[in-house]
Amino acid sequence: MPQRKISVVIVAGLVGMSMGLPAQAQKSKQKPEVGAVWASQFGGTIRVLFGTVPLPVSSPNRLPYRDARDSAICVAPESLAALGIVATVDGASVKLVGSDHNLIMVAARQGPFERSGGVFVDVVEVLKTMGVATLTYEPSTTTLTLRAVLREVVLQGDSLRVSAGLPITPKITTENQGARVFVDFPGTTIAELPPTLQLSSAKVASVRATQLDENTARLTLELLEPLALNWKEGRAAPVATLTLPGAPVTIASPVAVAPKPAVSASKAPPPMVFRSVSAVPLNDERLRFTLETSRLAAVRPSVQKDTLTLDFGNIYLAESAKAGATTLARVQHPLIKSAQLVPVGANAARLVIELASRVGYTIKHSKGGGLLLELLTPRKAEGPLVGKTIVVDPGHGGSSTGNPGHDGVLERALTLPMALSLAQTLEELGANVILTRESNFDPGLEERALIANRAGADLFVSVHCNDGSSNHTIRGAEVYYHASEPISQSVAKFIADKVRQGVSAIPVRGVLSDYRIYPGDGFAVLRHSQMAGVLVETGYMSNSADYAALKNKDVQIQMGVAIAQGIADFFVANPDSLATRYAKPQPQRDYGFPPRLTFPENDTSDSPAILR
Amino acid sequence: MGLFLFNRPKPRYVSPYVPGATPPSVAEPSQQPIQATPTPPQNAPPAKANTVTYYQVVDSPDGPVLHPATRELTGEKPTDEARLAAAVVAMTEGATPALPKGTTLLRLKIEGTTALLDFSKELKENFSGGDKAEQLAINALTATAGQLAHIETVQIFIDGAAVETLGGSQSLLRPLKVPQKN
Repeated sequence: MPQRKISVVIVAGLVGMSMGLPAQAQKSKQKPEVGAVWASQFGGTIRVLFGTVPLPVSSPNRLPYRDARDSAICVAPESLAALGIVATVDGASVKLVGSDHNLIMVAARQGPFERSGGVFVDVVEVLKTMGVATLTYEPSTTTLTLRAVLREVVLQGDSLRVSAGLPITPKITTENQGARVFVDFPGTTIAELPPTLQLSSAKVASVRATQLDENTARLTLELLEPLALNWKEGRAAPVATLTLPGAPVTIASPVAVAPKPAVSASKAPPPMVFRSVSAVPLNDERLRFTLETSRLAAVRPSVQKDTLTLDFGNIYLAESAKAGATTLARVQHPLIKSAQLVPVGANAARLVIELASRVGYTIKHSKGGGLLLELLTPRKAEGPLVGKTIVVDPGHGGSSTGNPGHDGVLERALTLPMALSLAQTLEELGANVILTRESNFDPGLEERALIANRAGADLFVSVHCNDGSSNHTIRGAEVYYHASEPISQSVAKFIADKVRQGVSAIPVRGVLSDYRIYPGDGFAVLRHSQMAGVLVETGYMSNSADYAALKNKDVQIQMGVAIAQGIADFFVANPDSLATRYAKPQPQRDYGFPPRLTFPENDTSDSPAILR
Repeated sequence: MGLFLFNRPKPRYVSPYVPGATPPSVAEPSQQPIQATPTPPQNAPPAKANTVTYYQVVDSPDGPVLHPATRELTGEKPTDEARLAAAVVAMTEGATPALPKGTTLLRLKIEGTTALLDFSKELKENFSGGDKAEQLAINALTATAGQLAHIETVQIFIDGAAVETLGGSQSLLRPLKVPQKN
């Protein structure tokens, strides 16, 4: 049996679309048209279209914009309702549920000054993660075009059922006296559907799928005899069922027109596409499988004897996946005897890995739909922290340098080794550890907490170094907890006590609420993490004695060990306090979408003062 | 996970605690390491219409803290925007300014009980320092804006855009509370 706890982490961050920065925008006083952002000195002009139709926008301040930080194209979550996506703002996250009941969470983004008053989401991240649409960005017109992916076409009795990733609205025309029927889907792409579908019935000779133009997918039905294809216009939905009433069919009641099997089928999520599979040896002790699917797949791993199996339901293998499966069968690695991806019936697939020895494994969701399965030599898990998931956050990193020391050493370079020592010790004590960063990069301030939230961690620990500015005498470690949160305060006390015992080079100043730093707010990482959490300021870089110790490799190790043992002390003394997942009290937040706001660019009647 | 930098013997761990043990007694520092200076007391007589309170960084045994000061503006009834702009300028001056040099207030908008402050890019570009410098700058801004009537939260923008953070410990993506008024 695997020794490691499975951690399913939806890796957030930003979708790597190469869009480039918008051209320098020019200020304009024109009223914006719906679906477009007016040019302003603070952002570029962005249009977000579903096919040829702009996404609906309730007011100018809810128009899409380009985030200057990372060039992400952001839209108001409520605009996604036109795509059948229901959004709920949940603190620093936005929950989005697609029409196929696929649920994802992404970071809530605060818009620029002109968009203040409600949160936004990265529309590319949302749609790529859901795998429900294709995205095309045209730099010359700064237009992002979304197109629904046509996923499945099936004949069920007298019905042709068509499902797509986004709501579709069929348009029906006929020729050849009704013997040939064209069903056009505006704003839709046939994606990976084969041109000729293996469909036929007593009334239908063949069905072909073509891309009529860049925004329209077309199904062409060759009928054995002319029939009137019925489609009741109504609210657009991701599944359209078209009836093919022949002469023998008598429409006695609405129930007869819509037979039960078709109704139940329309409620089932449309199938996923298994796009590719590959295995890459990282070293003799680690082997990584990359499994790309059209959207996040819920898999059921199981290990029986020497076989690890991952079952994928409601999925079919694309040709690229079949080719990958052939290559996969030839992969050799000390951890496995064989690996095979095989279809199971018409709409399921199974990855079967014959293990050469006992292995541990981790499974992570990757952005854009897909899984990373990593096999590794098992780790001995025993100790007081077995079963606990602890997120370790090395403060700063990358462009977030943190405090600079007088000799140029940056805080980010000191927090990482201490956090790694902490993580290593926690693992030795049995914990499942997730690091927000393992090298010199900045995962994003709010993302650090979101990583812990998504992992359902038991504890969040952030490691920082303090700075007394021009005061060179103040020194010592401080352990912060959020607000007056009691569990975190208790953890902080155990940690502070262990640091006092284990790190002689740095005194302990004490345990404090982060409200003493930011009244009413506290530290962002502690405020946004939903579990017990502490932030350890390990010493003052402005004090020469502390600074020398913080740079000392032995002290860095001692600090990590001491914090880990303090955490272990807490769990030993409180074996039941986190037996069920503890969620610290969350403040009431109002991130509702307010009524229309006015800004100087588009309404001069209520212009705020420009001070410059 | 598992491939960390440290090749050291596994530390021996024996917990001194038993289930149900109370946390060790760890005293809090006698004084606040950083004093978040409150806005002027509510019961105090209103400040002159042509004055503004701003905050200077001064040293203390517990490190740098914010200390209130007052600046008088020309004109009898300067607008809130003008008062805040003057306070921002004042906070960029001196040997240890609370705000980065060159920072100016571009725009102010009041939205309910939230003050939206849009600052020049110097707030971010000229910021240097760590968590403490960030804390001083943000607390100085929230406390300064908090002296406006009915303002409970402050959101900080830079050159029109929301930025995630100034120094890496506080998020600027959503409004921050102003220090509690006495």
